[in-house]
Amino acid sequence: MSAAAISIEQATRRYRGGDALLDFSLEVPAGEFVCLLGPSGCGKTTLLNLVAGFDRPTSGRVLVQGRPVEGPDPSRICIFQSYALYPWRTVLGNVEYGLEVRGVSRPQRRAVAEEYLRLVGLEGFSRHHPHQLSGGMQQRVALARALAVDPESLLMDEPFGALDALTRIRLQDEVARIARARSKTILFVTHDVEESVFLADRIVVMAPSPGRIQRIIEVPLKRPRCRTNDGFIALRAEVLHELGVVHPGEPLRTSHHLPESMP
Amino acid sequence: MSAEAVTAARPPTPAGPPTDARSLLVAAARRLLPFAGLALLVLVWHLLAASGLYTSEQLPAPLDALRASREVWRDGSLLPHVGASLARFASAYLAAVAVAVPLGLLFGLRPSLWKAADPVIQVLRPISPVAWFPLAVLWLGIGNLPAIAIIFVAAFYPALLATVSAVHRVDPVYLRVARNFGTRDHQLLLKVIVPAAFPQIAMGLRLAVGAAWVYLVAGEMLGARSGLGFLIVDARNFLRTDLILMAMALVGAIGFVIDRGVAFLERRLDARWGLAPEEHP
Repeated sequence: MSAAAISIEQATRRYRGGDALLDFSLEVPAGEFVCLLGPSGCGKTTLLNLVAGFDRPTSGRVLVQGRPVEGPDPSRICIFQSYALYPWRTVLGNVEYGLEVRGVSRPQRRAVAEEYLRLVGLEGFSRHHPHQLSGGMQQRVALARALAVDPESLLMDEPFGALDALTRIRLQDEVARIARARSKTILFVTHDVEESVFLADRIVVMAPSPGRIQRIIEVPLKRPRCRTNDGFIALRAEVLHELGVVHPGEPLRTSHHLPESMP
Repeated sequence: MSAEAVTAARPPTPAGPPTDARSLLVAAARRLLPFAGLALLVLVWHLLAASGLYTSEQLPAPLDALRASREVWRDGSLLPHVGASLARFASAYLAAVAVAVPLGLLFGLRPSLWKAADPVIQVLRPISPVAWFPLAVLWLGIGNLPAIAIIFVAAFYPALLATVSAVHRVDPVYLRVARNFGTRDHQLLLKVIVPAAFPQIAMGLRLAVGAAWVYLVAGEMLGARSGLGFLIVDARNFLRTDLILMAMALVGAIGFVIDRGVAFLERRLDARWGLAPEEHP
């Protein structure tokens, strides 16, 4: 494995209400897919904001490629649950945005944007405006916009949280495929257990008040992954168990009555 | 049959495209309702004039006003007045927008500046634009400018306040995205803040159009030698109440058309800006 792309060293982020994150340490090697999983209030988003550079730790350090994070940077692009596309720009204009502010010439950025729109399967929609697209398509645009500036890492904050179940599965497939093909380092915040098992190389299970690591679970499943095979289901049960969802008398291998939501 | 149509129009009909003859009729009746309201206004006016409560000098009937409009149309004096009013209105309004929007952007972007400016605006704003007239004459002389100044003042505040609040309400996530992609400070205003604030600014500009048009007549009544406001004063001096009512009706009608025009533009722009999901793929 190569050197740590992201390393968080005993980071604490204190707000008036308490510690959103306490003494948090994590090393993420380049190209790894890490899911931050846990109930709300466990500091997942706080952590993501520290790595993104939108926020600073009260104490401790956040290093990216060995250098302390000073602020947001196009090498670390955030993807938000609300897509955060610019409604006044076309789909193509949105994907071009990062290249445009960087001063890339129009024909060049157009070519790059079109390439990434193809990658996310939206080549026919470049002239549309975001509001003409479904939520899933808008998040694909956001993904293309992020990839167009060729970032080292993607910081995804519950990116599929607002999508219906089927769309979410399709986008998970998409992200898994792209993450592998483009070898991006990905921090992915979610509270969806199945999503984390499907996507992650490692799942960082977090606990709230103060936000901290409860346990790190390796996901040894081969890719591309299948959501219905025994290994997947067993691991999902293990993660659920870690989060305190226990089903007495229910053997792990036939657990098709797992609840959708977590406590 | 028509009675049935009227009663059918009364209960709120379920939304959706009309399918049968009856609902088509209801839909047609609904479309006619705005005209029915206007017709009622003219009818009340007519009945009041015909009631004998006032003499025809005090309250001419709608037809008298119509005859008066034909008179000023034939002698060629109407169009120059309308033209003068529109020119004043347009120049004052555009000047107000040209000052208010950049100032509003500045105040919106600099919270400390706005903290100082806000009370100043709030103290000046309740002063009716008309109250500025004596000073406007002293400072600007007699003629076009005082009237323009009044319209300017009337349009200025809504445009300014809408712009400030539009900037304040720009979704913070847009700014995060901008910073994330490395947007430089000098790019931020034109690439993100202005377009993000634009729909709300446009709404303020529409309010400003209404205010400007309302104070046009006041401004022209006070000092101008042309325009619809002057026409009203002039008609008063000759006790031509039919002309006064004609001019008033014309002011209302033109104001209505301008407002509809601006509303139309606003909808078009909003659709472009992705605020009105009208067209779906």
